[in-house]
Amino acid sequence: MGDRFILLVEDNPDDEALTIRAFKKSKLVNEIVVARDGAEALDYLFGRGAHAGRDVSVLPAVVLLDLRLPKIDGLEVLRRIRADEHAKLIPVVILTSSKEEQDLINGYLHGANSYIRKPVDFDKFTDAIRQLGLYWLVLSEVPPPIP
Amino acid sequence: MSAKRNQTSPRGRRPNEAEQAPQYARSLIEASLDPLVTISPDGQITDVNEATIKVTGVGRERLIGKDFADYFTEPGEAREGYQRVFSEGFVSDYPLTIRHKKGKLTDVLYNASVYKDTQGNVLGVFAAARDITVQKQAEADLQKAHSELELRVQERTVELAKSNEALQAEIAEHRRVAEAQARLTAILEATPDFVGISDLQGQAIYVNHAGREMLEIGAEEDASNLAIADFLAESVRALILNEAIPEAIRKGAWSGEGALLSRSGREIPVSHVLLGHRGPSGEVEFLSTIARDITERRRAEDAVRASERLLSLVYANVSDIIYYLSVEPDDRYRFLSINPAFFRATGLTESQVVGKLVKDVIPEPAHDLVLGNYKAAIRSKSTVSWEEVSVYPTGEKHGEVSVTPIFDEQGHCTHLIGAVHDITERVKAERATRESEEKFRTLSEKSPNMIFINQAGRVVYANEASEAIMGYSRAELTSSDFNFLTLIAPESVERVKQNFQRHTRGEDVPPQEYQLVTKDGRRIDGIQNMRLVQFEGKPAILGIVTDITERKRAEEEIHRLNEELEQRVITRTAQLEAANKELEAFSYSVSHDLRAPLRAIDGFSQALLEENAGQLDDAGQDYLRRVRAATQRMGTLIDDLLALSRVARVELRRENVALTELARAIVSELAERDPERRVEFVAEDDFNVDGDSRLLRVVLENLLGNAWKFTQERSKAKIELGQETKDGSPVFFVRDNGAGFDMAYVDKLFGAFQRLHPASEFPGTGVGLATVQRIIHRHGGRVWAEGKVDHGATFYFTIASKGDPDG
Repeated sequence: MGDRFILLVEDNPDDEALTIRAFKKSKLVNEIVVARDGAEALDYLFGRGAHAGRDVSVLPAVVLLDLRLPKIDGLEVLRRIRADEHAKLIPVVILTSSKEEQDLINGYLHGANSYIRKPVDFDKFTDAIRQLGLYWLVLSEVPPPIP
Repeated sequence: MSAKRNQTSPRGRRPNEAEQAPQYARSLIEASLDPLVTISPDGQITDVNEATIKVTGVGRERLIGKDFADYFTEPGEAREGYQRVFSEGFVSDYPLTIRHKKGKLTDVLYNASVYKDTQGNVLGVFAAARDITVQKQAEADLQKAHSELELRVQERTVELAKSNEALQAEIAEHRRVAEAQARLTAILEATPDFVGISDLQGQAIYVNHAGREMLEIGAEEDASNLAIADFLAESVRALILNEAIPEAIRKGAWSGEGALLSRSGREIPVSHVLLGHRGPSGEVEFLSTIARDITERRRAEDAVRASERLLSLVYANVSDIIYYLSVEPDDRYRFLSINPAFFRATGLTESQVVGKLVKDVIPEPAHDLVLGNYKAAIRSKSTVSWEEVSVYPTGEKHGEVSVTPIFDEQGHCTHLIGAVHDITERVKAERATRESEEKFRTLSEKSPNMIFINQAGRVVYANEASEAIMGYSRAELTSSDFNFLTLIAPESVERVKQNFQRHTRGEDVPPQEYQLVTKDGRRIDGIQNMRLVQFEGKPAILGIVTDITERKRAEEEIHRLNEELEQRVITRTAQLEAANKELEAFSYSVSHDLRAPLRAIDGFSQALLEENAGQLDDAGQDYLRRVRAATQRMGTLIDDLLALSRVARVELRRENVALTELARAIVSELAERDPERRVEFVAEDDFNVDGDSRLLRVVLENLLGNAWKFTQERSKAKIELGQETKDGSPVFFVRDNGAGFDMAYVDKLFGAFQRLHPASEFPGTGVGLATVQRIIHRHGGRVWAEGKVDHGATFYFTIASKGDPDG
């Protein structure tokens, strides 16, 4: 599973660190690529800007997407992923602090595969990450690359 | 005439030719058996014949020359006869008696005549006697026989007289019988009933005139050609032939009803009498029948029956009450009969009325009136009518009552018959009309609005307000030459006229606004509503005009104020919307941004505890754990606050919520989370309310969660979901037997962050009950609590049903 990597879109460095730590604690050693705002995430996925020239056929096994992001917010990122011919099948899990019902509904409406609220309690957070990783990185079948 | 006599002529000589003629006469004389004699004019016998000699017993020679009279018993008479021959020329059948010389007498009858010579000289008398002795004897015999006959005739005559008398009597009887028979026949012929006689074989003998008419038999037709069977109607033929006739023969008579059949086939219903008539032998020899045409009687009977049926139908079904009373001493009147209309009208039953006294049936208040009128009717011998009101099981009944007395031959009133016409509905209608009119008048006169009735272009009624507002007196308004259009502002006259026409056509016209002009020229704003009504039986238009001059001014003012207000509302709404947006953004930030640092604090504290535990002593590790606990509490606090604010913002979605079911689910969740606890939960099964299921779940989670939490010290914890009725509405409650609370602080219970217990004893944020209150208020309900320290708490709430205002 060495080539199954994660794209983590997270602007908060604390959450970034905690998320990576949670993965580690859950013994999930897949590579984690971090994008610190929506624009960077899209540049990475579509091989543009700083990521121009990247082999876009290499896609993450799952995208962990925060909603509150600088530049382009999470829902817009999701919308554009789903609108893209190559990227539209990538599993996207919304990982956010928001408990707003509207965010939850919008997330699913835009095609999120899952919606996870980050708990304050780190033990619970670790638990959530472990389950998430187990499901998306180990159990689920990755969609075939789209030529 | 014998020649012998001629030969024996006394002269004895042969006479010559000349003498021969007298010779013949002589022979003839001698041959005569009758005594003949010729007598000379002097009465001497001149010649006789043998018969004379024989009858006298005297010889010819002795006789000739003798007086002829000497040979008769009565010579005088003989001479007188002789003389009469000379005087008269002849005699005939002259009776004399010749005496024989020996005494024998011979009765003779003489025919005599004179004889003359050729010169006419009288030569004598020629007399011829005819012996009539035998004749005389015969006559005597005859006489004798005659006498005997006479005697016998006399005897016979007596007999005959007797038998004649008998015969006469018989004839008289016969005549009487004949006359009687003729009379009877005349009667039979004249009687209008059918009378017929027939033999035992059914062959007619006699049919009277009425019978012939009835059966259409000609007057001249022979009755004996008719068979009675042909004249019996088919329906009764067998009866008459097989029963009636045999019975008439057997017993002598039969009577009954039948029907005859005329020649033309017409059936005539009749009443029959059949008689068997016996002859001398005692056997029945013939039959008679008397039949009376009962067509008319039948018709009359049918008519009577029909009339009786009609009468009983009418009696049973007529809507008016008909009653029949007997009059008894002491002014007592008893119901003998009353028709069903009475029971329908009053609700009484037959057994409560028939046979009962009037005063026991009619309610007491009407007694004097009713009995007084009965007496008046009897006294005046005439029908008396009155109106009566009585209360019966069916309610108050008004009736137009009449009673008519019935008298016997002695003039005593024995019965009363009467009728009652139920006028309850009419009276009620009249009363309602009166009341309605009264109401209209009162309303109309008290009304601040102008009310008028316009009929055929004329004001026929105007109320007080019309006078007061328009300045015209009512007399002016209703005067026949007042044109009501002068009350209308000129620019509206056409419209008002059109409205009148539309109303008259029965169209539904909405209220109209226009201006009126008062007597002193002021303009008034009016709003008029019109109705087509009946006034004194004719269509009229009822108009109500509200003076809206003031209202119009007020409306304009309100309109102006409204516009201002609206502008302010728009401004304010915009401000509020902006504030709301900020608030939402804030909530979102709280939710999102405040939690992130907490998560970092908790997360890195944990990391520290795990990765750097060796560098921290026990106290240091305890501090870090406290940091973690505090961050987590703050996380919960933020969540609860967010929930509270969401409750205020979220849209209420009402549906049927099975409250009991929801409570059970929550209690089992609590029990799962806290498997150590033993809590008794009691709830009725079927509480249902209209509400938002998500929000009501939050309410029950809080209330049941609290109850669960505050009973943690109880060994026999008990939580109850129940319902009471207060002021007619259901009130739900959640009751526990837990720690309870001090009622002195009850008003702090529902404030946010208000806590009555230290968190160390009962953890919590103090936001739960505030959330409960907000949700219940949003459901249009109320929430309150009762409790006592250490004696449990009860939280009550109500949920307004759909349609009630959303709190």
